[in-house]
Amino acid sequence: VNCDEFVELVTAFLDDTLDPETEARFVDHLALCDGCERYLDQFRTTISELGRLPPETLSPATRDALLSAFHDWHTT
Amino acid sequence: MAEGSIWEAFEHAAHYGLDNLTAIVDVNRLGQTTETMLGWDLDTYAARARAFGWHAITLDGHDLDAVEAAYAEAEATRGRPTVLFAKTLKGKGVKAVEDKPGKHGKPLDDPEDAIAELGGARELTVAVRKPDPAAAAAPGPVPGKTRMPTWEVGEEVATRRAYGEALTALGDLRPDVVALDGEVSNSTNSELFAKAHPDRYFEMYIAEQQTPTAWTSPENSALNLEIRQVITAVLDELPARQRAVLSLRDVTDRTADEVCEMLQISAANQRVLLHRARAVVRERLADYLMEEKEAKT
Repeated sequence: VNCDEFVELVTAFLDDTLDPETEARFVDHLALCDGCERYLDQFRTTISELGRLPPETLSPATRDALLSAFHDWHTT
Repeated sequence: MAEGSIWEAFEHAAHYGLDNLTAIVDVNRLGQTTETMLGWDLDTYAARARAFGWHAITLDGHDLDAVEAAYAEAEATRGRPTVLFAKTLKGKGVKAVEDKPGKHGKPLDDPEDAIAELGGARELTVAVRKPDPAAAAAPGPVPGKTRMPTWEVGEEVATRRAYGEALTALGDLRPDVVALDGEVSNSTNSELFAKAHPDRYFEMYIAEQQTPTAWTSPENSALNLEIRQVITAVLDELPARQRAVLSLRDVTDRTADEVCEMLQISAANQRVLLHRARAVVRERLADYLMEEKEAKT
């Protein structure tokens, strides 16, 4: 795993969906690369910051609009 | 405990009688290179804390019953904060590193053995009670109070006088504005605020390390409000599908499976959308994240 690949795998890693071999290589790279360690750290912080947004960020109207965006996408 | 700012904090917490505050000191005795000054001398730590006005408890940090009893004692203590001095062994349970100096921050030579020694890999999820978002929301402006002070061009006013008046007006406008001063409020004119809002004015005395530490409340600091604004702006700019996945996963805390089900998309697709969206938010927050990191270290 190099840095470019690492960056692409972060979400899969956090969702625990990497296969054991890829995960092992991901963790190996993490141990060696300060830059990627920082990247993962920032990713985690980003996620926790998103989690602190007040719930009204997603009003029912917005939610419906978002869901319909997907609906349109599937039907086109 | 070797840092001076710790003792400023101890003094302030006792001065304000913060009985809802419990501090836990993990006394593992080892620094990065050598043993700490007091080592495992829990009694001396406790005597110092008591001299600062705290209720102090010493215990074996590996004895869970003792930890629980200490928490109960801390909760029952009124009028002053409580500190637990817990004696622990650093790296307990892994013989290769347990209670050994020179192991701080270093990878284990044999992590597999260590995991086996600790009883093998385990899955443990602890569900914690999340704060009520309604209770955490910042209160709105005070109705009827909508004016900030103004001065005519050419009018002479001391900067500190203008500061004190503007700060006080801000306090009138918003019930969540607090002011701290380092024992110079009659110079800075923050005494105007203290008079108008005594319950929201905090005298920090000349504890100059504690003053900035006390004002950076994690939830509502200016930095955090700014981060929130940045995130909200980025959310609006994201393509609709990325925004939907990101909002559902990270803002409203749905699982990947729930989101796939709601949006009728594959797991791989969900992950790609989520990842793209997070990467954009991270990039936009990068400057703030650096700042926060520096503030912490």
